[in-house]
Amino acid sequence: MKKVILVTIYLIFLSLISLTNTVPTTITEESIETIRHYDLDLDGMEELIHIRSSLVTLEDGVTNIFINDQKTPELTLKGYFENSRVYDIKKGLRVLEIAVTTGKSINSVIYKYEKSKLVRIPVSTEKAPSFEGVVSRNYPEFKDVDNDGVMELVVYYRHFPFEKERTVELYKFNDDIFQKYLEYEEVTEEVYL
Amino acid sequence: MLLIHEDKTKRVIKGKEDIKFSSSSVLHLIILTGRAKSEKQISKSSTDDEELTIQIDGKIFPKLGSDSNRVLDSPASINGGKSHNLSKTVYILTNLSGKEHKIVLTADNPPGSAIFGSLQVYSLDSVDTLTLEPKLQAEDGDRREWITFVLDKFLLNSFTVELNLKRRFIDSDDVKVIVDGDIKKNDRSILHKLWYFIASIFTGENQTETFHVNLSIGLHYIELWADRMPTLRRVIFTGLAFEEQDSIEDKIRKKAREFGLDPELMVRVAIVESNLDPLATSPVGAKGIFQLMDITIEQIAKLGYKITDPYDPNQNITGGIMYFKWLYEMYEGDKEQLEKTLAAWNWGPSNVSKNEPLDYESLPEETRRFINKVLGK
Repeated sequence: MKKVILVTIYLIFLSLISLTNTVPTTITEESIETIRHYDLDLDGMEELIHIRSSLVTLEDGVTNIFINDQKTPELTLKGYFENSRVYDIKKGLRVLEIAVTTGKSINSVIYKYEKSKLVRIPVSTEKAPSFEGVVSRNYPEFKDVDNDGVMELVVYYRHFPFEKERTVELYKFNDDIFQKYLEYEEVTEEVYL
Repeated sequence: MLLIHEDKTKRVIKGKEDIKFSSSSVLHLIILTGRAKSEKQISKSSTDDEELTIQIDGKIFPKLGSDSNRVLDSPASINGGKSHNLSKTVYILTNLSGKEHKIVLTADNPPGSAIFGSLQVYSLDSVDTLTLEPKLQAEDGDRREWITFVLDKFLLNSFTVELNLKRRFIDSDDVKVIVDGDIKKNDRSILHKLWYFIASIFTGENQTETFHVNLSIGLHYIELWADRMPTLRRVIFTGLAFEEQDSIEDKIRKKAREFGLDPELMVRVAIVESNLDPLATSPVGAKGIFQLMDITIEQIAKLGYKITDPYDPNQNITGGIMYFKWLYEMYEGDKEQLEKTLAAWNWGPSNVSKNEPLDYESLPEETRRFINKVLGK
């Protein structure tokens, strides 16, 4: 009899443990929360960029961007957060690049900060609303290619299957939009993936 | 036997070092020489021996026994505690898939350093009988590990060892033979029965013995330990055969069939992604044959398959095909099922509607190129 009671207690104990293990946690390994500080409008005060990204379903995830103490997101992007960077593309203009991953592609979207709002800068080859900014397997870059004091947007596309070559697109910033003005093939030292 | 890679630059290995080589052959003999200090040779306060371990295309060579992943203290490593800063040579007979290969040398921490002596990589055609003539003399020193032959997924009937041993007044040359942890004992000397070849019991300076081991397919270690300065003149492996390994394409085809997908389609996807290179890594960290992103690997884990090494061809193929299948089923019943699957594979399923027709004009340029290349358009 004692044995039966002990076994029953043990089974109840096991079931309690299993119940405890099924309680969902709020932070999972597929979620990231990151805070970046950038002086986006160059007023000497840093903005706090709060990024929350989660793989809520098996699909591509969602990235929410909050600025300073916002309760609702300033931006909601489809995709899992990959990176954020700022560039001073010309005197007095700093832009924020947010990159998210969907599938094997990186979607890089570029913003300027005006009147406490992120304002997206379009890229001439984007196909909004299907996609905004640049979609490529690699990060674009900002470089002052022609030494005119304004950075160009440089976008790279890989070849399929890969080879020691990639397609390069150059975009000039004309105060409203990054306008594509040149495309060429470039030989790379290593195979370009 | 064709030499395809050689590195004779002696150096200290601190932490990790990658050595890459290209070869389309399947069968390879890799010869690594190095040395490592025991803890006493490092300093009085040291509590750990130096050790150099080797990994080839993600394959590890662990200690045989219960802990199957422990590479430290394995006969395939160069362990200072067992070799006492005297040169040790490891011969690894292995078969490799694909063309691009990577050897990773790792120095154990602490103290995190060991001496690399040399590395040679040979490709081989056939292996029923393999004769090696290293003419390798041990450095002078007391009983320690000297040479290990690693047979990776091979069977072996017998091997013959030809040695030259010098008889000396006080301490002569001896050699111990260990096969998969089993010390071969001689019946000629009660005092030295664990040392199979002993010069002091004079049977001539040149001694030869054949060991009939009948090892089944698997990972095997044949170790030669040296006392003083014996020379290994020749070793002959007889009845050697390896487990036939599928090519990368065949592995993909098999796995695709298992998942009910078109095998040739999946081979094309892999070619377009990585040219079937298991070690391909993109600048943003897409890895292996199917160029899996870290986030995709997490998604695959959610589908029930945990990838621990995306550069392992088997894991990458299984995970990649499982993910493709999941996408394919997502667009089940759609007349553009394949095109949508490929678009979602490249650009993400959240961007490819299940209900709307696929609008090629609104796809990113790279996604369009990817689909066209896989479909041969």
